[in-house]
This record gives sequence, C-alpha cells and structure tokens, in this order.
Amino acid sequence: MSQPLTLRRFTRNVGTEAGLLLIGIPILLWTMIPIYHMFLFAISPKDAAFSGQLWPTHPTLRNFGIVFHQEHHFLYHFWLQMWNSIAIAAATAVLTLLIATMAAFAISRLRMKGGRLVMNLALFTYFIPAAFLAVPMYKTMGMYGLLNNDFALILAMVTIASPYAIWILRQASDKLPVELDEAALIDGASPWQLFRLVYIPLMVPSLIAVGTYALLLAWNEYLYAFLLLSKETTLTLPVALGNFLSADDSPWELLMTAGFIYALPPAAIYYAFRKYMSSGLTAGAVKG
Amino acid sequence: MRRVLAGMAAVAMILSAAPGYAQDKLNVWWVKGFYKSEDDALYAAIKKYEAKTGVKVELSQYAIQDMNAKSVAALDAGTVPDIAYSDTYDVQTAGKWAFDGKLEDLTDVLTPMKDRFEPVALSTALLYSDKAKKKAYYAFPIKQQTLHIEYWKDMLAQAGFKESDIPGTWKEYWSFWCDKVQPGIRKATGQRLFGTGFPMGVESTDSFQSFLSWVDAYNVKLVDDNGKLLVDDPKVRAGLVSALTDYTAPYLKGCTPPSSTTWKDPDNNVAFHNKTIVMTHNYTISIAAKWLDDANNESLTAEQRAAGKKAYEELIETQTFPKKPDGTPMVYRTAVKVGVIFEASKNKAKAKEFLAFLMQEDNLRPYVEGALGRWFPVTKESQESPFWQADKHRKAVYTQYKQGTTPFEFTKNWKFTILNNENAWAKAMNRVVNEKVSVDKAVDELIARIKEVAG
Repeated sequence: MSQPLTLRRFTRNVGTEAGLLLIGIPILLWTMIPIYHMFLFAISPKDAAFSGQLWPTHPTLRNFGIVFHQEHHFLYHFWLQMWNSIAIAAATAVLTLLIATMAAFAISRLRMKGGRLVMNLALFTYFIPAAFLAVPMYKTMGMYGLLNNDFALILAMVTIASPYAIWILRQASDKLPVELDEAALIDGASPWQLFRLVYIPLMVPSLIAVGTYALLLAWNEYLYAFLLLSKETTLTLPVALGNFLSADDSPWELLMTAGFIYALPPAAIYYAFRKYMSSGLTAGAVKG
Repeated sequence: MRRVLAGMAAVAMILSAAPGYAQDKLNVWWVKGFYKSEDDALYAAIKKYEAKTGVKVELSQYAIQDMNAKSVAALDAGTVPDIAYSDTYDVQTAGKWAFDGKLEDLTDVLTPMKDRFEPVALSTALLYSDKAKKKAYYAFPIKQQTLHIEYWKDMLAQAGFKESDIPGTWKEYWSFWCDKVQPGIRKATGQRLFGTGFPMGVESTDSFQSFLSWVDAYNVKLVDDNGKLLVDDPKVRAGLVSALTDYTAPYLKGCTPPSSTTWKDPDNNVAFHNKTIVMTHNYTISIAAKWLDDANNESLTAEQRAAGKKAYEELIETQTFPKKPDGTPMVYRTAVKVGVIFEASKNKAKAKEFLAFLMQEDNLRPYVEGALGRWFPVTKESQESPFWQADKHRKAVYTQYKQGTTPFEFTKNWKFTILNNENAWAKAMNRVVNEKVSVDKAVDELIARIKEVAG
C-alpha cells in the first residue's frame, strides 16, 4: 500500500526538481554570461578583446596589472576613486543604520507620538522615483555649498536609503516580544540602556541586512555621484569609469577589468552576510 | 563678553573675506580628453593662467556623454560653471541655449582675434538669441572634425587590387568597394568579410554625420543662411532621394555588415580594427590614431607596439572623398566644437579673461595637437603647423580642410539639433533597409519631419 505512494511521491519530487532546474539553469546562464564576458575581456589582450572566442588564445593578467598600477590615462586615480567609493558606501551604511535604528526603536518600542505619521511619510517618499529628485537634490546641495564634496553624496544616499531602512527595521522591531522591554524597565533600565543592551543585540540580523542594503545602494550609485561630484579626485569609481566611453576607441579590456574588480567587494559582502539578507529583510514581513 | 565680541568680529572678517576669495576662483568644466597629451596641454595652459593672474582654476572634467546631462542639470539648478567646453555642445545644445538667451555674448573676446580664425569655423559660433533678437558669438570655437575615408591597404591587395585601381568618381568609387573588393576579399580569404562599413544606427552620430555628407555630395542645401527651410524645393527633394538611395545601396546589396543598422559610434571602428570590413568612413581619423596610440603605448608588448606602428604607417590609408556626382570636388562638412560661458555664470569677467588666454596660439595648439590628429585646428596659424604634415593621415586631413568646408544646418537653425538628436536621418535609412519602404516615401516622411521640427 505504501509502495505506490512512495513511488508517486518520488515521481512528483523528481518532476518538481526537474521543473526547478529548467527554470534555474536559464536564470543562472542569463546571470552568469555577462559576468563571464566581463571576465573574458579582462583576461584578453587588447587586440583579442573582440575576437568572439569563448576563451582567449593567450589569456593574460596584464590588464589587471595596468589597472592596479594605474598605468592608463583614465586610471590614474583608480585607488583614490576606489577609496572614495568605499568611504562613501561605508559612511552611508553607518549613518543610515544610525538614523534608521533609532527611528525604528522610537516608533516601535517607545511608541513615540507621531510614529505612524513618520512611517507613512517614509513610505510616501517611494512614490517619487529617486531619479526625479536628482536635480532638486543637486540644487539643494549647491545652496548649502556642498557640491563636489563627498559628504553631499553621503547625505543624498542616506536620504534615499533611510525610509526603506526605517520601514524594514520597524517591521523587524515589532516582532520582538514586548515582555523583554517590560522586564528591562522593571529592572530599572533607561531607554538608552534598553536600546543598547536589549534592542540592538536582538536586531543584529536585520541591522546587517539593512546595512548591507545601504552600502550596496551607495556602492552602485551612478546618477547622484555623477551630479554631485566633479573633481577627478573626489569621484567614485563608477563615475570615473564613464571616461572610458569618451571616445570611439575605448579600451574595453581595461574598462571590463576595472569593472570586474569593482564588482568583487559587493559580491564578497553579499556572500559573507547572505544568511542575514533574506531573514533580515523579511523579518516581520508577515506581521499584520 | 569680550570673547564673544572678539569671536563675532572674527566671524564677520571671515565672512567679508569670503566673496573676495570667491572672485579669485574660476570654475571650469571641460570634457575629459581621450589622450593624456590632451589633458596635459589643458593643465599646462591652466597652470600658466593661474601663474599669470593669481586666479585659482577649479577644473572639473567629465566624460563626453556626461557633459550635456551635467550642464543641463547645472543650468536648471542655477549652479553653472564659469566656463564650459564639451565635444557635444555644438551638435546638441549650444544653438538652443543661445536661442533661449542662456549664453553670454562673447563678441568682445572673439572680435579682436577674428582674423586668426578660419572663417567657416568662426561662423559656427555665430548663433541667434531670441532673447536679444540678434546673432552674436554666443560660443567659442576650439577644434573641428570632418568625414574621412579609411581603408586597409593589405586587405585591398588581398582582394586583388592596387590603390591606383580605386576610381575617383562618385558612383564608380562606391561600386568599386562593393562590387569588386568585396567579392575579391571573400574569394581570397574564404571569410564573410565586407567591402564597406556604413554606419546606420539610430543611436550613433556617425550615421547622420555621414549621411549628411552624402546630402552635400548632391549639393543639397536644407536651409539658407538665415535658417529658413528649403525642403519644399523639388531639387532638394530629388537630392535627398539620390543621397538616401546611394547611402542605403551598400546595405541592400549586402556590402556592409547586417549589424550596421544598429551600430553605435564605436562599432564601425571595431569592425575596421577587426578587419571585418575593408573600408569605412569616420568623423575624425580616430581609426588610424588608435594604431598610433598603440604604437606609443608603453603598457603594450613590443610586438603590439610594432603592429600599431605598422598599421598606422603602412597598412591603413586615410583618403579624401571621390568627386561629387556632378564631377566637382567634395566640400567637407565640418563639425566645429564649441565651448560656452553661461549667462548665469558668477564670474563672467574672469571667464572671458581665461577664454582669451586659452585661445592664444601657444595654449590652444598643444591642446588640439595633443589629440594625435583627431581634431583639426580652427585657427589659420595652427592649421599650418608642421604637425599636419608629419604623416600621411594628417596630410589627408589637412588636404580635406583646404579643399573647403561647410557648416552643419544647426548653426543656422538650432532646431536641426533636435533632428540630429532623434536621428531623423538614420530613421529614414532604416525605413528603407528594414521596413522596405521606398526611398521616395522615406524622403517624404523625412521632409515632413524636418518641416514639423524646424519649420
């Protein structure tokens, strides 16, 4: 009696897995082929970059050498621009976390008056695409004399990242049992101690997820970086790499090499924290 | 209390000093040069200017494709640079900015040096302002480019032909590459190579710049000197039909790669460098200059540098156009690249002073020549520089410019920048080659669009 059932279940499982593979393999290829091509360019000699081969006849790491040693005209500030990207992304992540954590704590745990309004306003900002706010933001930064200053980009990125971060953290925060706060308060904890000793440790997965989100948002930002920064020494790497497209004979192999290098840190960060990403970003998502 | 007062006095002194400090700064936006030598020449000129005047120049450089977006954002936000230059201002924005009254009149700077300029080049900076209701120099010319023909001599030989076999007349010339060279090279190599590379992509500037040279070849004038449209003239329509027929013929005959209809600006260069095509036409001699750049590139291997030198000096030829269909020599359409000082600039006097300094021969020439021949000078003296006689490619550029030039329509009617930006010309080509519409119908549609936009 149980034999046919097992066989049926087995068949169903095989069918499900086959279906998943049928969907998964094309998605994997679709995702990996551009990255593979980028890598292929990066290891191809200049004259073979467009050869169309699946693997270069004479693979080389020379392009990486040129990028690392800043030997090309467009790459003279490569490390400085990489540092700018790192500093801006890290500062954005830290500031976003600071603002969002405190806001979420105040709204969710301290039940501050007007918290619901703040949440609604935070969500409302997503009705306006960030690109539409670029020029007003540019004008505002100009009024404050912040143009061509890395801080302008950090502030802009924090502005864009914070509403979503507050929303996510508030949802996660609502899931924490209120009894923990009550116990701490009975023990005489101040709101600050409650925040530092109870709230933050319990929120770590969500904080990592939100911090990674803000960091990657700033790391990949082009439009605001392009508008708000001007001097080559203050630019982030994505904007600086735009120089490679300034003529009709771009050194594509170097552009792809620099792009490949630039793609590595976020990939590493994502994989390091991947277990927090899904749990952290979906924490409280099903809460009514 | 005394400390508070002292502090307030110090703050007041700092604040009062701030405007003076701001006046001694000049905010310059400049397109990023493709070669280090271009930027080095610009930096040297800026350094000289700073040493001479004590003014601090704040230079910001952007990629060519970013300059317009950045400039438009700055105009909208009211935070414009004091002076700006981009390789794209001429074709895309300068005419409209001048029309809208957003540019400073530079007549007082350019008039004293008027005789130094090649007249056609300077004339392109003479733009109409609807606000001032007058034409004036609302831009300054820096450098210019025109259309050249480039071909591989070794591929031509492989196809079984000598350079002396290339005809000098219009129809025969284009037929030669398509009907003789292409079968020859395919037979010799067994590969699906193409005789020509005709840029036809809607997203490229090469396509419309090339096509408009075909329009010139048929002596078609789309506007008069006052910008009035002439497209209702039956001769203009007939000329456009001939130009479009000739320009689309290589594609219809399979003599240019099928992908030419989607080519962006680098793609004909890439096809040429890969030796997929024997010949192409290109604004600037960037195709040949790429190989010269390789020859001088220390980061390449000795073999790659030698290959670059050989290609530049021996294998690639830069050629003038054949005679026009009527048998007269071609007059080349020149795209004069201009910079601007915005009307909203906070430091117009210093910006004009900087402009006058930069336009001096000693400063402008190294900047233009730093581009290894991609750009041709706008001043008569620089045009006669030994640089333009140094090799065969530069000599060809020089010869073309000496043959005579004509400006683009947008210098007379700025609305042609809209037609160029939407690439009405390449759309007409694509109607013929992809949608199989007759040339006559495509031209009628093109004329209707020209009248709608620029009428």
